[in-house]
Formats: sequence, C-alpha cells, structure tokens
Amino acid sequence: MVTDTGLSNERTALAWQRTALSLMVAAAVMGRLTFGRLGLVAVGPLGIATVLSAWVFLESRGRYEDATRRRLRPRPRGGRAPLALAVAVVLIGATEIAAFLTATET
Amino acid sequence: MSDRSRWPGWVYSTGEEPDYRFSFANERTFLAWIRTALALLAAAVAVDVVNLDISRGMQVVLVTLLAVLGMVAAIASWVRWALSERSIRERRPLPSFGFAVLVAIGLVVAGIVFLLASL
Repeated sequence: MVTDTGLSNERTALAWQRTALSLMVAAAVMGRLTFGRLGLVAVGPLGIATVLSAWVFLESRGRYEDATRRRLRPRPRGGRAPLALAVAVVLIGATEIAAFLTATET
Repeated sequence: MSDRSRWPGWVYSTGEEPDYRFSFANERTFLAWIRTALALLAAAVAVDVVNLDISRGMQVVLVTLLAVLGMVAAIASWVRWALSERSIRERRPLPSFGFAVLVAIGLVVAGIVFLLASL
C-alpha cells in the first residue's frame, strides 16, 4: 500500500475537473455560435460532448473522495475517462468544421 | 500483477501496478494536452467568427488546419497517455512521441498562412 505523501491526488482531481468544465463551456459556446448555421444538427454532437464531460467531472470527484478518505489507491482507474474527454474535443471540433464549411457553401 | 478487468486491456494486461503518483502525473500530462487541443479549437473558432480582413480561401485553410490539429491532438493525447501508462507499468523508458513536433509545425504553418493572408 502506498500512502498519499503529497497532494498529487487533489492536484490531479482539480486538473480533471478544470478540463471537464472547460469542455462543457466550450460545448456551450460552440452551441451558441453554430446553432444559427446548423440548427438542431449541432445539438447532437455538442450534447454528447457535454454528457461525456459531465460524467468525467463526476467520476473525478468520486475518485478524489475515495483517495482522501481511505488513503488507499482509489478504485480502478482506466482509459475510459481520458477517452471520453478526447472524444468530446473531437465532437466539438467536428461541429466547428461542419458549421464553418456549411457557411462557406451558401 | 496484471489486471484484466481494466480497460484498455493492452495497457493493463502487462507489467505491475506502479506507484499511483506516477499514474496521476501521466493523467495530468494527458489533461494538459487536452487543454492544448481545446486551445487549438478556440483558435479555429476565433478565425471563424472574428472579422480578420483575409480572403475566404485563406480563412478556410486556417480554420480547417487549426480545428483538425486540435482534433488530432485530442486523439494523440489519449494514445500518448495509454503508451506511457503501459511503459510505466512495465518499468520501461517512456516512449518518444512525435506529436508535439506536429503541433509546433502546424502552428508555424498557420502563422505563416495568416501573415501572408493579411499582407
């Protein structure tokens, strides 16, 4: 068992939350900017991106609580949360490109 | 101690559980890269919505370049995280990963395009 000798778990939890919140804000701003051009088409990818980010935000909170209370390695962490954030970025980027190219053609 | 219940299997099926601070550091590096990807998307949005007095063609090149770079950076940051996590578990040196160079080259190209476009 490795006890927590520093604040690296708290620092990491904050980094997760900061990034997840940034992504939710980015999805909201992108929705505001692209809704006029794409309409409801923009809601799909941006909604998925928001749900993924919200899940990662809650997930990172759970991990942190677990680690501080018991000073044990938190429950298994895998590659799903990072992948969720990466997919959210891709969805937001795809929405931007779609909205931009739609405006170019008209 | 390999752990087959954790995803992805090709990361967690080999090596042994590292000091979790190393995994945390690896995650924070991943998150820093995600925020970099987000910043690249923000740059693409800025070129899209701000009136820059450049031609539509140049705008298309810049927005597409920056947005695609941001999307590639997001996927590459996950791949980098997974490869690093596996190397940490196997106590091997961290893999070298060239996508920082790709981001740098992409940004230099975007800067040159923007300069030429605004002449």
